[in-house]
Amino acid sequence: MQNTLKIQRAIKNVTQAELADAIGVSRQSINTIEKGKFVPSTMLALKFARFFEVPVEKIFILDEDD
Amino acid sequence: MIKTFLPNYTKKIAFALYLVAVVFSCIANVDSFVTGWEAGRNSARESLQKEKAIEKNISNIIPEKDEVRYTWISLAFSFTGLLMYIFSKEKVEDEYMQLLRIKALTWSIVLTWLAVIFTMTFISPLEGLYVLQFELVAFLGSFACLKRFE
Repeated sequence: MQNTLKIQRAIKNVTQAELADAIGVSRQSINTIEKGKFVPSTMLALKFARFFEVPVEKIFILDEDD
Repeated sequence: MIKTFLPNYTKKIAFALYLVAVVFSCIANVDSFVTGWEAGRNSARESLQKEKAIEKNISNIIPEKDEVRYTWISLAFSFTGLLMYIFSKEKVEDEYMQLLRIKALTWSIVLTWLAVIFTMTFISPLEGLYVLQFELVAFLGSFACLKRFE
């Protein structure tokens, strides 16, 4: 699975730390999600979507073979 | 999911408890340390009888019954401190930290088994309480490494 978290952050001009504080997770979590090492839960994905005011599918994209 | 019951600041209390355990352990094993030091200093050329004579000649700094008591006190503080630290929350406790805890738990089990097999084969059978203690320390070490490097 891919994600556009970094792009969304850049659009909204927030740092990883600011996003982490807003969502209620650690900065390390944000970093590992952006690198694709960790897949967040549905709840966390929805929180991201609400924060960035975009649909979830715009942030998290399934790969062809997923 | 591994539950963490205690607030983050209890980690500092847990660390203090573990330091107390270390102090008591050192006090309880002063005689063993001195015996080992003296025996070792005489090197491999000395006979086994001479090593035993050295053991007898060294007067006990700490009486034997106190040694056992201090060892038990040390273990009690050690277990309390380690378990308190393990069950304390991180500053931000989220699902990623939960994942790291599960990975650390797996690693601690593997490391403990390896340590037990190694020591039983090459040294001597580990006493049960020290195995449990090692597993707790292995969990904390694995968790710290995963937080740092993963």
